[in-house]
Amino acid sequence: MTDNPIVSIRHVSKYFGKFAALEDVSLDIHAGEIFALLGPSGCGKSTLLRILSGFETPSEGELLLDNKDLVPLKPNKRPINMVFQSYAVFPHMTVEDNVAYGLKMEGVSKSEITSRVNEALEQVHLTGLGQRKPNQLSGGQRQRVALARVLVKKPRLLLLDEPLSALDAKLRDAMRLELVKLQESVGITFVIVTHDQSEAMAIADRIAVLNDGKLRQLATPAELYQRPVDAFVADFVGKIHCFDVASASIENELIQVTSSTLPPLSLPPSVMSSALHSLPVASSGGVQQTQQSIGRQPRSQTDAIGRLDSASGKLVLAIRPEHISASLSEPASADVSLLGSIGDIAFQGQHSILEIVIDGKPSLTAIVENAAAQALHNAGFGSPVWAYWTASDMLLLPENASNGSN
Amino acid sequence: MYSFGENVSLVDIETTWTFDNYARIFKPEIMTLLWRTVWISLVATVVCLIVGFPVALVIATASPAAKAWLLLLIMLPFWTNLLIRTYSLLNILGTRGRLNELLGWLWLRCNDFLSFIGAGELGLLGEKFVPIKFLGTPSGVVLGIIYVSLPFAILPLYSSLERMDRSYLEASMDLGAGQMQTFFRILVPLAMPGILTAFIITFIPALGQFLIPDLLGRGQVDMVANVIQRQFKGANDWPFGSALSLMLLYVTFILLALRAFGDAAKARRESIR
Repeated sequence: MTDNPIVSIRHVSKYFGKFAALEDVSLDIHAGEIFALLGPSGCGKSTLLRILSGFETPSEGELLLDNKDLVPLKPNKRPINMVFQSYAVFPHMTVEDNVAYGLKMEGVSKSEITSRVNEALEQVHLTGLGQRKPNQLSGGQRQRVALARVLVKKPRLLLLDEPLSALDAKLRDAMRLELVKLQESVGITFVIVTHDQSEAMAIADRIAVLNDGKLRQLATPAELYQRPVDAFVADFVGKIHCFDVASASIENELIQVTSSTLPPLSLPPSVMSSALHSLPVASSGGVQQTQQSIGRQPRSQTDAIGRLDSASGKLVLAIRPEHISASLSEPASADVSLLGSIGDIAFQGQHSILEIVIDGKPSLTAIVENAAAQALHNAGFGSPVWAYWTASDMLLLPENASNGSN
Repeated sequence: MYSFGENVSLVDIETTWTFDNYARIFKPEIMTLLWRTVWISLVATVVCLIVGFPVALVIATASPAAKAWLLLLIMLPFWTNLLIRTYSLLNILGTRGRLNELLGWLWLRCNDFLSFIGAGELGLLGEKFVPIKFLGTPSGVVLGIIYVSLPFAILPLYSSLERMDRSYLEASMDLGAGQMQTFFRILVPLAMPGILTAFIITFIPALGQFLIPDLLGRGQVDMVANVIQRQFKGANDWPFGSALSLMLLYVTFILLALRAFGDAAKARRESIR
């Protein structure tokens, strides 16, 4: 992977009438990586893909491929190819003709077409099916045809629109691995659009999380999971429990947090979301100014107090289920412990998922070892149980980073 | 039944199971008539398809609101009586009709242009504008049939284009094809079922056109239906009229059967592979 981005998207916005499908999105895609655009439906990820492929033009902003402006190029002139969500394998052509189509359009010689088509069919394990018509293929095979059809063009960038959503669960898992292997062997940069966080996490080198047309966070899968920038991202990439924060301030380099449901806590600064460092600060004159990131340690305590206070209404404390432990007796030394009762226990093979009911509502889930789960199971439904965790495993997040900053 | 009968008196027909009436169809003058019917219908149908396809494409890709208005526009002629529409065509196609007025104007402009570029002396367009005679000629009948059948051609084309997944076209563009290549290699083949339907739905009624050859052909461009009508009325030869009508019916059936066979053969070919 080089530092030179293959694609630069700079301040791109797209409006459909008054509706903003994309707002000021900037990101770089590096050569040779699998880049995922992740978000719920209607977040703008497909619009961004269509802008890359050339079927939409950005209302504002720049689009560069290898440092050259891409916007004026028509879709058929871009060295970018796309695997459509519906595959769009031409039904009136054989598999071979489908794969050869793009090369014929380029005016490649017949003998070269034959050898490249065969090579592409081999890459997607469709050798021998070249004479079939698409309606004689399974969904998975049709997708492979769509893949071969774009691979054969050797594009600079390969776009995949929800590549796995139309496949059944088992095929999907197999195809995930195959896509990664394929990408490694051909070395083409992949951009994948998906709404499935587990798919993005499993395949991608880096993920851009989008919501409401805005880029929320761009990070590696691990970073996204462990250090989400806000509660939306944290919740979108995996299960997480959030507690409302009543007030938060920094004293002696520790964050003091109070909340309606949790005891007062002193947390290390490492739990703070990176977005909090750039929240607007109420200066003495009452004028709002945006302070750029000043790293983990606040420059001065008064600044930090002002910063967290100004946002405290929108802050949440969050903890992931795998950090929550459960015990039938009150834990002796735990930063946070909550008393609840045992709800459902779901056996998952190597571990079990325990539901803890607090105030009559199922409110926490904990991942427990099977031995512990057996004990909990024996205690029976409704027995008192303590959920506890270490404070430093928690995350202090703004509810919505991009809204919090304006 | 009449088609197997003979006239025994002015009003009585006896069914004698003769094939004479069918044999008469193969007389040269009737064959000429049938051939003229077929080629007039064929030309009209092909023009309808060529003109109708882009129109259908425009409607299919229009915004939903515009789509409704355009479809209404296509349907509008149906609300007028065929007779009135055909008489209005008389006005348009006449030697001093609107169409010739327009052509005359174009001729003048073209001539002006030719003299402007210095080619006026060559008289490329003839000494003076000669109005084209549409009425009483096959061209007038063809134009008339095109006029009435165009909506019938557009609607099936529209419905097949409307249902088409737009991503096929985008995939084609994405793979490097231009507009024209996408049109001929993807759009037209995928719209083929609609094109066939449009062909049949235009061609078969065109074969049986009666009013248009009667009025626009001025009795000089007869089609089968005109002769049939004359057999029943003027010629008082019901058996031969019946034979001719049945002939027309058979042609229709054969065309439909051919299409069904074609579909079945296609399905079989694909299942064998």
